[in-house]
Amino acid sequence: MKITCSFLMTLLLCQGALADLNVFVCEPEWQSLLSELGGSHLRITTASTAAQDPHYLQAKPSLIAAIRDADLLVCSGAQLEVGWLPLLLRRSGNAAIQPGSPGHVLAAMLVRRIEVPQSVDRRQGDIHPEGNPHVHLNPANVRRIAQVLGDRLAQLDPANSNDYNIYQTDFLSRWDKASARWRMAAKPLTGIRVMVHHTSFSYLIDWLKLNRLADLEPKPGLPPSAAHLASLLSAYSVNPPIAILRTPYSSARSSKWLAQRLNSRMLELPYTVGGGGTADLFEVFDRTIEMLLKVST
Amino acid sequence: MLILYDQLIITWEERMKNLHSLMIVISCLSWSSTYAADNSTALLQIKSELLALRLEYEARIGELEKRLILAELQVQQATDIAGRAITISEDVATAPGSNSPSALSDFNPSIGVALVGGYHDFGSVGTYSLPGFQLGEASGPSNDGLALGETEINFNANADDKFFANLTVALGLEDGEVAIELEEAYIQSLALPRQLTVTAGRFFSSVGYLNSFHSHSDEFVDRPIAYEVFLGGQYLDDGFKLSWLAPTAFYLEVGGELLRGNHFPSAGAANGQGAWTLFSKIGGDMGISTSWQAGVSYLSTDVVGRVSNISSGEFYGDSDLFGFDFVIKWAPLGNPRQRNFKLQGEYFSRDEKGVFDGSEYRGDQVGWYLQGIYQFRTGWQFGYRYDQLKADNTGVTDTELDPMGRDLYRNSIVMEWLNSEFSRVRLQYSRDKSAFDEDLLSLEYIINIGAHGAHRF
Repeated sequence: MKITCSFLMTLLLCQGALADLNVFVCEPEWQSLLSELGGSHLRITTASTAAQDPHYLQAKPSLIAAIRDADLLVCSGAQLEVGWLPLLLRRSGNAAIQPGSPGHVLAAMLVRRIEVPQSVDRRQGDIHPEGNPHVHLNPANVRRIAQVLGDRLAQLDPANSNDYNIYQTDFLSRWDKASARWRMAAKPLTGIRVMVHHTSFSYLIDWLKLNRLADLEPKPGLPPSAAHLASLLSAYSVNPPIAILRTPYSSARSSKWLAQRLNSRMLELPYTVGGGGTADLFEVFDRTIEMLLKVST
Repeated sequence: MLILYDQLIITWEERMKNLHSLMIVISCLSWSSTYAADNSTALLQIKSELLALRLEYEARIGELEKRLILAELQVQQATDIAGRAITISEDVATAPGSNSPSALSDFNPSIGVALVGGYHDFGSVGTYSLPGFQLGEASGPSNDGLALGETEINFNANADDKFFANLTVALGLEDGEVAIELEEAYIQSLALPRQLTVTAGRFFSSVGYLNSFHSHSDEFVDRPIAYEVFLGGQYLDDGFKLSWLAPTAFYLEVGGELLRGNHFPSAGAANGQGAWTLFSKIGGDMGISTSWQAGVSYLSTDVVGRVSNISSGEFYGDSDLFGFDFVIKWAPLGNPRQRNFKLQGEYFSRDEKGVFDGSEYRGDQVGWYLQGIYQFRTGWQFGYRYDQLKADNTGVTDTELDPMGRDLYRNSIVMEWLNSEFSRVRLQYSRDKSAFDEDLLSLEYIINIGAHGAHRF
């Protein structure tokens, strides 16, 4: 028994030692970005998938085990993970990734956040005092975050800093080209009328200058109520939205109910990497724009 | 930059047109040449002229091709430059401005308040007692009728890079008077090496699963009866705790506590260190939809004069409690927002040896519960719980520790509405065959204000 145990331990420890940095990320978008920036030097654990609402995760045992060995933690921040990340950090026994250390990066804190509330009152729903945390749906935000993350990898793992610099330059040049392509392709989308399930797409809407009519959730974080949906139906039956947007983790029920009555299309956009079968951040934007173009013509 | 790009496109298109007209000229010339084939000298001359022409055009076509490639290259570069320009201009727009490091609570402790109240119908009101067991002060249900539950105020924050601090005060009502209880006042290390964590002060013991949860996060109005008799509803004490996370791919934590032993089920604070515990928890995922955790724990106390709520009988001796607990959570694709299920159970066995009310007492007791909570749509959940107690005590005939051959059990169902993460209202019905032989009904609200609660597993 003892032998098996120590053998297992060695095996598990070795597995961790193959990569140069252990990275813990809260959402799949950061997993995709970091694998671009760190290649095989990183061993990345992702706390959630595109099918999970990152706000409602729990500090489950497997996450405690994963965060314990992390050299770098990358999460969205702005209170998106407020229900479980502080608890995980406290239980991790890991000084390298505590707030304030170089191994602790909150992506939303690196960019200009929108929807920062003037006053903080939960009557407005589960609002985030630091603004909307879903920052990855604007390519310029991703660029800015990539710059910081690439530099941070080089700082935490100086032995491979050359590689990180090369990966970063390469990623940024590909990202810039893709950004220009998306910008051109999305020109016809300016001003199209949409509704959203939750505030998850605010940065996309801001970037593409879509016309966001309303949210299905009466307040952020509260499930869409029958009364609220009925009021949306009467308010927009004359000039309905082209599409009702939702993430893969939102329930389709309310979108379906309203879309049928308003004769709008309902769109489950990828939202993040893994959504709609997307493999990386490039595909998330490709697919999102393609899907929006399809319904707008 | 966009204008530049457009111009480049236009010039490129113009060049394509030029190339086209050239081709037409060449084909016309070759067609006319067949008519001149009769005269050989003339033919030769024409041939050489044609050759010269061809060479000239080939050279010009070559040059045009070169310019075409160059133009394409320039277009490519222009797109890159345009792209970079767009990204840079957007980058400037997305630069974190004044709203950058705004975390409002960074320098203040986060403050949370839990308010609980409701209506309880317990039928015949009598003294709460469970034959075969001593009960702690805080044991038993809330007051019958309209009643305020326990109001909790919590402050917590990282003190610095090495310590986290937490304070919880509970305000309850005792005989109409407000009673203040210090529930938690502890500090916890954040930066010890080798995944060690030390907690010191007053805290909820890590014995069992439910014990370290605040009661306002429970899924039922009351704790299982096993918790009432073995841990006084919730065992908290003063002391310190050391825990260690093993470097395994799955979750494995082991730890122990040394405690003052001043709180039920301990009493009298023998030598100021009357209790100690050992615990271990293990857990992981089974696929993407299911997570689990299991634990074993042991609580040993040196009891000095423990009295219960209903008699003056005192217990002196050793009390050893063993516990096993498990919890399994399921949600489709790991997304609990719409539907989820939680199965949870604990088993306790206690061995007590000593003197009760002047006579030799030996206690052998077990208690367990099993509960399932199913959220069938966002904001609505239904739960069922069965709990049971059994005592086999000797030397205590006709005292409160005499089980009188009774088997204590209870069936409970609960329906709960969660408006948001911060408010919930529930209706619970219990068929009680333990302290009462009654149908119990409760309607209760739990409201949290202030800091966002933690999603513990």
